[in-house]
Amino acid sequence: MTSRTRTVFLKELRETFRDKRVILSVIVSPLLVTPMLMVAMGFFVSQKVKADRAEHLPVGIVGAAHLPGLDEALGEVDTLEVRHFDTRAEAENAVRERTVRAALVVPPHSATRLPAGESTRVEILFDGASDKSRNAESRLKEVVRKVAEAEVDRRLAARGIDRNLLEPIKTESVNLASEEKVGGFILGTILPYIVILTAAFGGMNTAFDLCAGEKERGTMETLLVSPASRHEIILGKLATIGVVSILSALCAIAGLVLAVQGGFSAARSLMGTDLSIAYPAVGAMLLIVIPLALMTAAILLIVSTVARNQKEAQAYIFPFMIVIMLPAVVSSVMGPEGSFALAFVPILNTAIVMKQVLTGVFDLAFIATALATSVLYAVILMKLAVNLFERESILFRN
Amino acid sequence: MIEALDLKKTFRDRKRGEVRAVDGISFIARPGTILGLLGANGAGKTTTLRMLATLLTPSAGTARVAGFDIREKPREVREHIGFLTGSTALYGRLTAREMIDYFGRLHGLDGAALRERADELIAELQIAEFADRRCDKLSTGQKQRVSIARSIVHRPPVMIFDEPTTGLDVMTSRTIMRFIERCRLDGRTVVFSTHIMSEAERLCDTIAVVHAGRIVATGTLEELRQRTGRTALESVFLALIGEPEDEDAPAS
Repeated sequence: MTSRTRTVFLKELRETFRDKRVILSVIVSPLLVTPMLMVAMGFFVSQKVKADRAEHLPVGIVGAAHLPGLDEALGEVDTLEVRHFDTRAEAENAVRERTVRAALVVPPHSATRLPAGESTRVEILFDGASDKSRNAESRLKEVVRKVAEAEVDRRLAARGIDRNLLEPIKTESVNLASEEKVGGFILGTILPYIVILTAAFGGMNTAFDLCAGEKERGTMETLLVSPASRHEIILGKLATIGVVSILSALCAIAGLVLAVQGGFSAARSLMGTDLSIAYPAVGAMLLIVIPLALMTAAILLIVSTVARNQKEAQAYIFPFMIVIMLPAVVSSVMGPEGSFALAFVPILNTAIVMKQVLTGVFDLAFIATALATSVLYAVILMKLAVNLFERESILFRN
Repeated sequence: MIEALDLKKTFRDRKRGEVRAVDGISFIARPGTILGLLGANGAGKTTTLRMLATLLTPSAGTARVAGFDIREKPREVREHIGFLTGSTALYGRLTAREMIDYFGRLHGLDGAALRERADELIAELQIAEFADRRCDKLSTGQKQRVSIARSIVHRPPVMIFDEPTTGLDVMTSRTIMRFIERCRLDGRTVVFSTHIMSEAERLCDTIAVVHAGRIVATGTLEELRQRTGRTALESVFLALIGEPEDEDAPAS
C-alpha cells in the first residue's frame, strides 16, 4: 500500500464512519436489531406454541356410542370440548362453519366389528387451511390411537398373549452429536445465508458513495487531478469497501451469536435442544468470509464505477443481487457434504465451508479448494475493478 | 509555463459517431500571465483543460505543463498544477481543515509541514471561524474558499480554472476572480476557460478564442480589436467565430 493509497483509505474510512446510514445498517442493525428481533420472535413463537397446546378446541363426534372406550379417552383430554352430532353431514357443516374445529365420525358397524375382532375405519373431518383445525385433528387422532391401543391390549389379554410378541424389537436412537454440533447444524442452515448477504451488501452504501457518489457530487475530478494515480485511488476505495463488508459480516455473526446466547427460546422449545456455538467455528468463519467480502466489494465497486450516479448504481446492482442471493438461498437447504465440484462455485462454496465448520465436518481438500478459488475470483474481480477505473470513457461518461 | 502542441481529442459517441471535441489546439501560457480560453459551450474548452490536467489522454498532440510532458509524466504534471472548476465540490462529511489536510497529504505533505501550510491557508483565506465545521454545513462562499485552499495547498506553479464562476453568486465570483488575479501576482501560470465576456476582459493578458475545437484567434484584447475592427469583446468574439451579429437585438 503506497502512502497515497493509505491516505485515500483513511479518509474514506473516516467519511464512511461519519455516515449515519452506514453506522445504522452495518453496526446498529445487525448487533442490536437482529438479535432483538430474533429473541422477540422466539418469545412469541414459543408463547404461541404453549398457547396452542393449552387452547380448548371444540370437536364434534358422530356415533360415539359405537366405539367402546372413546368417551373415557376423550374424558382424559381436558383441552377438547366434545359436541355430539347425529349425522356425518351435520358434523361436516359444523366443521365448515367452524363451530367445531374437527369431527370424528364413527360408523355404526364399529360396534359389532370390534368385539368380533375385526377392524373398522373412522373418519376425522378437518379444515387443512386452518391451524386450529389441524391442531384439533391431531388431538383427535391421538385419542383414536389410544382407543385402538386399548383395544389391542384387550384382545391380546383375551388370548393370553404377551405384548412383546408384537414388538419384538424396540428402537432407541442415541444422539452422539454434542450440543454444539446440533446447534451448529441448526445455525448452519441460516447463518451462511445471513453472513453472505451482509458481507455482500453491507458495503453497498459505502461502495456507491465512493465512486458513483463522487461523480455525482463533482468531487471525483478534483481527486483525479491530485498526484494520486487512479490505481492508488481505487485500491484505497476498494480497501475501504472491503473493511466495511467484513465489518458488517462480523457484526451479523456477532448479532446471531448474541441472539443465541440471549435465549433463542423458540429454538429451545421447538427443537428441544439448547443452541450453543463453538467459538473456534465462529473464528474460522470470519477467516472464510474475508475473500467473499473482497469479492463482493469488487463487484460493488465495479457497479459504482460504471454508474454515473448513485441512482444508476442502485439499478445496476439488481441483477447482481439475484446472482449473489441465489447461491445463498440454495446453501440454506444444502447439507455440509456436497459434491467436490461445488468447491468451485463462487459464494456457494463459501456457504458450504461455513456449514462444514459449524457442524464439525472438516473436508480439508474441499475447504482449501473453496478458499483458493474464492481468493482467485476476488483477485480477478478486483483487477477488473481497477482496470475499469483506469478507463477515461468510464470515468467521464457524460 | 504551459505549451500545448496540437492537442486533439476525439470521442466515440453512439449517436453522433466520432466527435472531434478538440481539433488541434496549440498555445503557450507564461508564468505571471493569465491566458483565457474564450468560447461557447461545447467549443472544446473543458476537454482541452482536462487533457492539460491529465484527466483525459489526448488522441494526438501533447503538452508540456511546468516542464513535464502530459503523456510521459502525468503524475509530475498533477503535482505541479492546481485545478478549480465552478462545479468543484467538497467532501460533505469532512471538515474544512480535514479537506485541506487530505489534499495536502495526497500532494506528499506531512507532519509539521502540512500543519504549517494548512494554518497558513486557513489564516490567509479567512477559514479559521469554520475550519472545524463539516463542509456540508458551509455556505457557498465558505465552500469556495475551502476549494481555493485545497487547490493551492501544494503551491502549484500552474493554475487551471475551468469555468470557475459557473453557478456562483456575484460575491463568490468576485472572490474567485480576485484569487485568479492573485495567482498572476504570485507569478503562477494561469489558464482559465470562460464563456463570460466581462471575465475575459477583466482578467486575461492573452485571449484565445476557441470555436469548434480550434483556436481561431489569439492575442491581447487590443490585438483582437485591431484585427476585427470592433471594440466590444462580444462583437470581437462573434466576428472571430464567423457569426453575424444579431441586428434585431434590442438596443439596451
